[in-house]
Amino acid sequence: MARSFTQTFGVDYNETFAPIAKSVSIRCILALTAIEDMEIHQMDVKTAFFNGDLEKEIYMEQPEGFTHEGEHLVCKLHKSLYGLKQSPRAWNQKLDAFLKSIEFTRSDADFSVYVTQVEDVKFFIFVYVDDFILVCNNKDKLLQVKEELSRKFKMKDLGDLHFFLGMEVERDHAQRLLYMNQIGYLKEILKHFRMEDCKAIRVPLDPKTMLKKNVNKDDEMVKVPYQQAVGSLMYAMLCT
Amino acid sequence: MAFSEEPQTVEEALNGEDAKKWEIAMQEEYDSLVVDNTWSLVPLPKGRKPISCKWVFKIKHGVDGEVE
Repeated sequence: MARSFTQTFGVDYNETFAPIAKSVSIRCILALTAIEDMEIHQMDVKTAFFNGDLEKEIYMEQPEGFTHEGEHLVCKLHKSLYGLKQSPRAWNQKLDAFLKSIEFTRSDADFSVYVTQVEDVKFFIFVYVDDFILVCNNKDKLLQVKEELSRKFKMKDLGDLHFFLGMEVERDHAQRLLYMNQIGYLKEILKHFRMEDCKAIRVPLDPKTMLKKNVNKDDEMVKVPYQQAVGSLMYAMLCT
Repeated sequence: MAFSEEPQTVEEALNGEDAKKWEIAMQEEYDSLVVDNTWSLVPLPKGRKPISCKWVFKIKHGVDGEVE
């Protein structure tokens, strides 16, 4: 990958903003999927960032171990690489242009959601960088769009949605229910913070609990990456 | 989140336990970049500074936990 901290604004890159999905959007789409009993499939793009077009001329040192004809030659990039500041944006613009070319409209409320509707056929695409969720109430249309995507980009078809962003999705078509859980993600967090053998405890805390100031916090607190732990729990909280 | 032991540098990768595997993986990655016409080798134009790059080593696991 390219090392973005060696890039110079205005010389090697200009704009870098790229949209990222809002968790409320995915929950809405999953709810719709359940209510209308639509198909929900997942696909991802292999090496997505290589698809982006570069607006600037970028020169990069040759990669370690593969230097040809001495050190004086450099790589002039034709395609976007992982690690460049503009890579996510370049990829998103390419994808945006393509989805619009196949009659999708981007949601004004969330730039990661694309919608199209022709008569009774509804189609949503939810984009998380190189991971797509495709929701449609018509199998033929779903297949058609999957084929169009696969012709344009190197895609991997993951079939029915089971896992997405640390969430597990289970469906009950008969009852039109959709269950989400984060068991796998939570177990992973516990393992990461070496708490897999911890005992479960009820929350909220007993209101009579007295909180005391930790007097010798300097040596105790530094051992645990609290910010990371709180961040991981916040993510779990936001999703399900 | 990935927490497994992955080499941080080319030196580590090519001197570690899986040196042979990393060497093959690096060659394949480099070849695919060349085949895809990701860049061309040119002399550096005057007044430009090249950005640097680094190898990133990741062990990918499939859904069943097997190394891909």
